[in-house]
Amino acid sequence: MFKTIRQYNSFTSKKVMAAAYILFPTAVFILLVTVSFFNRNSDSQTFRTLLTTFSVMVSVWACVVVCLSDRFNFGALLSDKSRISEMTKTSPKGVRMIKNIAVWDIFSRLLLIFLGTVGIVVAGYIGHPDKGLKFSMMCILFVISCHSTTSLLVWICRLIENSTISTLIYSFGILYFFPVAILYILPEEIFHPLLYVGAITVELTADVIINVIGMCLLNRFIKKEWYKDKALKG
Amino acid sequence: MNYTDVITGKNINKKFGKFELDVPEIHIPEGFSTALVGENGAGKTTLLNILSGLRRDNKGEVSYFGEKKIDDEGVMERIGFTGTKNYFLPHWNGNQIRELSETLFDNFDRDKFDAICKSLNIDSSVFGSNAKSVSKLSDGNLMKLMLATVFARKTDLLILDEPASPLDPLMRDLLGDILRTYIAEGNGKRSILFSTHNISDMEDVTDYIIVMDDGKILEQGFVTDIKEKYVIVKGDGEVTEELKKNMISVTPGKYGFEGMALAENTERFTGMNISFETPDLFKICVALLKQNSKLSMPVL
Repeated sequence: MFKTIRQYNSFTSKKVMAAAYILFPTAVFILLVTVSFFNRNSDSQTFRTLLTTFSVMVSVWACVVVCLSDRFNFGALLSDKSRISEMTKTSPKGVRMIKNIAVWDIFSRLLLIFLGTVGIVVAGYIGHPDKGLKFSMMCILFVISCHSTTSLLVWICRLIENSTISTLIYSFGILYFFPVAILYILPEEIFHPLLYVGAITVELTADVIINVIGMCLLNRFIKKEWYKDKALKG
Repeated sequence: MNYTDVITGKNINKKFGKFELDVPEIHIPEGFSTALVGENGAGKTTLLNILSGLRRDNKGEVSYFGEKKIDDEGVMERIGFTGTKNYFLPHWNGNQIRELSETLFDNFDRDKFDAICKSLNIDSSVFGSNAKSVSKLSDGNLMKLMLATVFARKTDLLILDEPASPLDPLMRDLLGDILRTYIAEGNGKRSILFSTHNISDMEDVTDYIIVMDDGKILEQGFVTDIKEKYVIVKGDGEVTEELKKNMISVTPGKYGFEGMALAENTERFTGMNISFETPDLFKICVALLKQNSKLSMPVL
């Protein structure tokens, strides 16, 4: 997600993106409240508290990420959502950098999937010990299908340089949030608010941590002095 | 003429749907400036992308500076390439381009880049503290910026995809001077390959020419040899079948006809009321391309 913001930020106004990333969780929040209205038999107090926490958390997170993204502009210099510049591709160093970024991107996503999966399973057992496993498996499927597929396909898009397909895939990436809505439509006996919030919190936290570390490393890696001193000699 | 190749391509093939680029052999001479000419969609950009190493999904072999391959040590560093709008990403500004060029290319000279930008009068709004992105630049300024990044590097081969097309006449003239100086100062070791639709403007810079049509090379050779190979044929009579048979192309007009023929066939026109002229590159290219062109005069 962090990477998505960074890339969008690279070719769209920061203000628009900030608004989008604040409005989007808000929209999700409204959706959740609406759906929850039809699930009134749930533990409503816990439910609302946790939803509010979630919404605020995501909004603040989005703002921080958009502000921070300036720091990573150097990374964004190398590629945007569907293209790698011809200038980069005609440089041997540029080609090596792109390969390294691709490797890191895929590695970070795989790590994220692993951590997210563990988090979801743990959250599932805490939230609903007797039915947690079934629920967790469903969440895992969502996470893997949305998150990893998006990431991997985006790199394929960059290779084939098709911005239309890339845009579609990024739209598909928004499905990341669809588990939120779908989980709330699930039969009540396997639903527990804590389960969902636990899962999404673990996933978002892991996402932010991994991407911040990744982008810092990447940024350091790309910096000319470091690159010349370490990477080339290495 | 004796020369060595700066680029040699063999059996280059790339298919896009119905289009097929098929180049059994191509030679770009070292120490000269080569123009690649052809209709829109003839495959010029695809060929340049293959020769510059941007595109690798083709069949065939390309070698550089003798027997070297594109990924061999130092080969890409010696090649300066400017492409179309994908050369820079649209959100980059001039400061970032300078910084990135310095990072990507060891032979990039920051001071030289700044001096070239100043000389070429590139829109300064893309530099400085409130630098605008290059997407705000006009096509001409964007091309000048691309050229500046390439000229600020020490290279032995320039591959330029339609460098003159978006430029104004003054800048086009200056580009000609720059390219001539680049070749002259290279002492026979610097070469240029560029595509162009403005062959008249670029004729002074062209030593060797390659004419392409529908993915194939129609003609390639030194300009002096090519000019000796063809003649313009002018006459005031009817365009007969006999005449057509001996000409590469012929265009009838109100007061006669004009066309192109091989110089070796001039004696076939003996007895006809016609005259011969030495063609310029533009006329040769037009005559060659007319042979298979699907263009025709629309009814206005």
